[in-house]
Amino acid sequence: MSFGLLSEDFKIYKNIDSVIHRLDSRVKFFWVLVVGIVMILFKDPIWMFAFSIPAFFLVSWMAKMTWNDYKPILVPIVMICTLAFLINQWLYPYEHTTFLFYLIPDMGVIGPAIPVSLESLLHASAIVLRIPLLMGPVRVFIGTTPMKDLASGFTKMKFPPEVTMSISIAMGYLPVLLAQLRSVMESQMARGYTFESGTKNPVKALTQFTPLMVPLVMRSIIRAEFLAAAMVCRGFEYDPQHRTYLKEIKLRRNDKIALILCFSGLGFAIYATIMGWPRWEVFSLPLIKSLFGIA
Amino acid sequence: MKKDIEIEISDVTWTYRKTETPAITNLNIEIKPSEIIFITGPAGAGKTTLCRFINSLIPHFYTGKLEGKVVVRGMDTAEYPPEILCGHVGLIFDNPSNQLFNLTVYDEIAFGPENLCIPPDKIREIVADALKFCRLETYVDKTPHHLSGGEQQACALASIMAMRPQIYVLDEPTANLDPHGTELVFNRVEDLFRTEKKTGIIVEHKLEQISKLADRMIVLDQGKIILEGKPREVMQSVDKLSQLGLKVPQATLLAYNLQKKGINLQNLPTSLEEGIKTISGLLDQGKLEVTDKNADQRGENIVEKTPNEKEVLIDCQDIWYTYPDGTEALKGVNLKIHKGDFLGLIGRNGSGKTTLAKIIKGLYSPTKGKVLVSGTDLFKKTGIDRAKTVGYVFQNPDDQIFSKTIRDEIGYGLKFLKLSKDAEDKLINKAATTMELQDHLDKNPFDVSQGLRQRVAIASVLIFEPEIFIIDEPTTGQDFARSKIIMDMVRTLHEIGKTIIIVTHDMELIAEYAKRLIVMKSGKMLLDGSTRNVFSQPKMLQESSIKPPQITSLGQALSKYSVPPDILTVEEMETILTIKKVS
Repeated sequence: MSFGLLSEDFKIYKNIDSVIHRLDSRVKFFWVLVVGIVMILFKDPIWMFAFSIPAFFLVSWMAKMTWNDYKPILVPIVMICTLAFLINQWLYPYEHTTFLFYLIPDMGVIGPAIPVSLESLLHASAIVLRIPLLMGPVRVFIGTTPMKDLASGFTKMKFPPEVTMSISIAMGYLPVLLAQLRSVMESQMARGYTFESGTKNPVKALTQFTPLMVPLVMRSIIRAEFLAAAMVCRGFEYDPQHRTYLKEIKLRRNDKIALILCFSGLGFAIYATIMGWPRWEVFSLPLIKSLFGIA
Repeated sequence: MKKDIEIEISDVTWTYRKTETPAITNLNIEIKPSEIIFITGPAGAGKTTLCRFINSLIPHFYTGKLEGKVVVRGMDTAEYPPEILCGHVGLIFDNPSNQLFNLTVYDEIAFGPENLCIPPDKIREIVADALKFCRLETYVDKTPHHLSGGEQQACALASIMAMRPQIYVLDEPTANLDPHGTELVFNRVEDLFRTEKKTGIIVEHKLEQISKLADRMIVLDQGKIILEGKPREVMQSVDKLSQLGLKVPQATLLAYNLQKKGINLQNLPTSLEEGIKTISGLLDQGKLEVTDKNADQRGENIVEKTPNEKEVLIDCQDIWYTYPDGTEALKGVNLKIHKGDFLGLIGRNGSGKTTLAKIIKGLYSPTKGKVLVSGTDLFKKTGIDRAKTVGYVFQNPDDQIFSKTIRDEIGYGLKFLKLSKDAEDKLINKAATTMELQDHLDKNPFDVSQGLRQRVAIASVLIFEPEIFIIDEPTTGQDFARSKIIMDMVRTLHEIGKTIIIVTHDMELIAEYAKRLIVMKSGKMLLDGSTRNVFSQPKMLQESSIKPPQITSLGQALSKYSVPPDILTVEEMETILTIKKVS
């Protein structure tokens, strides 16, 4: 059984020093936000790639993120993307489209056919690509930002400090939760539990998780109560608005440069959207048709 | 507030919400500044509830019905919430991982002062002091959860110290630690109280260590005070303490039993040093004499003598194991376990004992080497075949319980065997009978006591009728009475012919039950021999931070009187120390 996210060496925050690590948490959050907005505005996969991939690789390199840092999140992303891609293919109307092939051929009474057209492919790709193209920057963000900086950054942005601290502590506690899941998994495996990844019956697939999820949830509830009590005992609710943050959050030169770049990117993205460029009907479809000589 | 009283608990009765029986009944305690109070009692005595009163978690965080009054440093806890009292009272819980939630040790310690809005420069000063005091300077950037248990608890202590409270409430701070971690925490706590003159309330089961430190000892049972006084005075009530299931130091118990046999003792010893003094005094005075009826059997390593006579069940051949983060947990372990062995795996945390146990179970595959079970490579078997060969009972039964009834929980593993309903029922009833669970089969496992859940966990492994049972730290976090119950269950398994491997830190219990010991150190086997042989090598054990049972150490200290160095139990010592008849 692959442990992926549960592996011992997978750490959410990468405790090293880099240009990106040193950036203000608000700037990094703004970058993720810009990518998110652009992913919503853009409806053309080629535009999406062109806009986010170079920036993502550049930031990843500057943040000293390696393939191993992304590997554990790949499996869930691929699973979600595959599902989203199939649903979008299935729902896309196929009248007046450029037919390419059948994903599922017509089998009469068994169910409707799922044809794939150039239009449905571009449409589904545009929707599905949003997930990895957004998850990548999110991974860089949480991998380079200590949870405490995240909380202080959000508090400076006028988010309620109780909420931001709770979220940051919960995220910081994730490795403990994963260790707990590992321990539950080993307990059940010791009694013969095996995970059958190939099962097609969704109910059966779900019940397979019951022996893992019930102990995990029960123990997490108990732990959550202890954690909350421990936080209260350390003055968490004393005066959240005025609590001290040891690390001073201040915009420095690099932060300002990063902000200018983000704003420029966002400005260009909004302008392009207003002009109607990043739509597959306008850009990718005619381009592919002309490249492959499709009428 | 009365003058010179720091904590005043007056006529307090507390009932948790959704329960009918009060956890604390009509409690009255007064604590003076700088006084150190040692509180003990069996499970369910109300010790943790009492701790929660002091920093007003009760009634502000935990809800229920409160009668009476708790006043701390002049503040009525009903009016002052924990976030106000936290600057006066620091509370440390038993499980370090339930109270550490920051990314680095530094952040963890700074968390409290930051909440109290202390200026950054002052916080840096406070954190530096706390780090130095708790010997954590080298772990500043480490994640608290990556520290050892003792270091984690030291980090919890530092994080409380940083809030500069006058009162420290420590709720079983060493319950989940190995002996090395326990020593680290006790050293820090002792330093704190001795040098800083703080007021302390320490809940513990380790009578010997805390009684030296405390000014007063309180024994609780079912929410009421049963005994109260100076620790030395309270510990004279051996009968009462034993009835409550508390672990009386072995030297005290021995002296008490000798007293019952007619030896006149003014005071019972409460520590090893006092025990040595008392017994050597009695031997010098000629009131006791040493008669070892089993002298001819001593000094021999029974296990090493007879390996070929028994069938080898598990054969670990040059086992190496490296964790994905690069930690080398095992470095070439060669071990043969024989049919019917009752084996204890001991060593400090991180020595490789649990990793070795999990490899024998087949949960981890060795990086190098082979494990043969009855001559067959364990890793060539399927998961269910491994479950049928080696049973593994984990430390916490709550890691596995998920079914609606105890019957379903015990029978969970059987669904992988695809047996008939009749055959399943037969196996469930058999396992339930062995673990004395017949009357509880239709109960919800979440509604029964921890002790019963532990039995359910063992029964759910027993269902496969494995020949080998591995039991991982069954007594960690348990009080003495519960630990004894668990160990008796394990003995039952041994008596029905199972081979037992126990991973543990409890030397007194393992001395009483195990026949063979393996001492692990840094991924290697340091010692392998009969329990007697291993415990009679204190210098070797020290290398692995292991202390023999108190009674063994007592025997070793009395060697000049010809007391053998391998006494394992108080009963055995009593047979050796006989009362000299006056002619």
